[in-house]
Amino acid sequence: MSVWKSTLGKLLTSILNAPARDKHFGNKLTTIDSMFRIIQIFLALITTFYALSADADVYNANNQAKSWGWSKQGVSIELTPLSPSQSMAFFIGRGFPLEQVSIIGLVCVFQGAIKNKSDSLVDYDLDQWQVSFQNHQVSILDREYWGAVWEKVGISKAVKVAFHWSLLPTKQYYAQGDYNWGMFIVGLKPGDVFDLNLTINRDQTPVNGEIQSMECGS
Amino acid sequence: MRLLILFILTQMLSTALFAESREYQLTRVEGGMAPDFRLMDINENLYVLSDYQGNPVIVNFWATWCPPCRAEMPAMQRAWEQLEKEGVLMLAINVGEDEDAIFPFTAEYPVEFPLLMDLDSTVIQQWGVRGLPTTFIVDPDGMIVYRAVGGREWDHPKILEVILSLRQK
Repeated sequence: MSVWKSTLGKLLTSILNAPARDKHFGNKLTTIDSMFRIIQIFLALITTFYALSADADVYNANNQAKSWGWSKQGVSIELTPLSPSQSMAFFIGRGFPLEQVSIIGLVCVFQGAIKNKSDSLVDYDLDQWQVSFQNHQVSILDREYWGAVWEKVGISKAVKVAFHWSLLPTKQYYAQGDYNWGMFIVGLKPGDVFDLNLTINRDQTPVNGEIQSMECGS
Repeated sequence: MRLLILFILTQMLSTALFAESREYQLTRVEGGMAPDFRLMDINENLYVLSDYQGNPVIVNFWATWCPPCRAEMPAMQRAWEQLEKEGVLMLAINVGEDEDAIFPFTAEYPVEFPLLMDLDSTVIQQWGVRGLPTTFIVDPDGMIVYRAVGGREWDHPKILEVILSLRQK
């Protein structure tokens, strides 16, 4: 990315510093020259924006909503924290009993989206991802974890089904153009800050990434 | 400088076209025989997949609370308006919700293709689905031949062409 920045910086500088000459009209800056230079600057700015966004490995997708994202080689992951009231409201809407939905309000919930815009077959396994919180490894609470919890609590099958399909798949594979949405839940409290180390496999070759200082919704 | 600008424009254009192309991309799969199912729709009509052998069938798994599922419904309806008369069936299987949940949805998203109910998620598990929405294209022999995870522009000419090409001659 720094190479891009440097190259585009030089490009922009060369456009701005180019002598305002026309080979037929001497030093007179013609209207065509002016327009051409404006187009050059416009294209350079667009290209800069395009390059910075396309090559970003880790980014804060939306400062106001505190979303976090990771993007590499055509694969992108975006995680937006949900507050306890947001996540509980979602599951109440899915038929969760009030006494059980409070469990969800105690943990760290993100709305996630994973997209494959690459030419490769992409897969991931949440068991390979690591959450670090104050120098400790913390569990990702996946579909299997919650399945066992709801089995103990004894809620209805319909509610369990809704919960299961609301979460990001524990393992998934994506062909070109495929994507998923789903909740991503970590065994931390609302407001906790953690680092996420993730791995996706691109044509069976691991690609690793890290998103630092992700904050659980509160 | 002009060559450089031309190069940049070409790159931007090709990337834009590349990104857009994913909206109508179906993945060719050798998914084997489509698992048969017997499911009721929200109007209490019974649908049995094997009854439709001889015709291409689009099987979509969805839920009302799933944003990309909702987003692709209008495109599915537009596709249905073109495919129904060509002998293609479209079945949208809702996962885990009953008529009371689905009916209000149809007021917001008026669709005319059958909305089936997989209340206990037995069928979706038989089909090996991991996330919503996931859509399969079943050929007239009952074989799964295409798959799409996530929403698509189902009425895009390229998708329609792929589906219509499956019809038996």
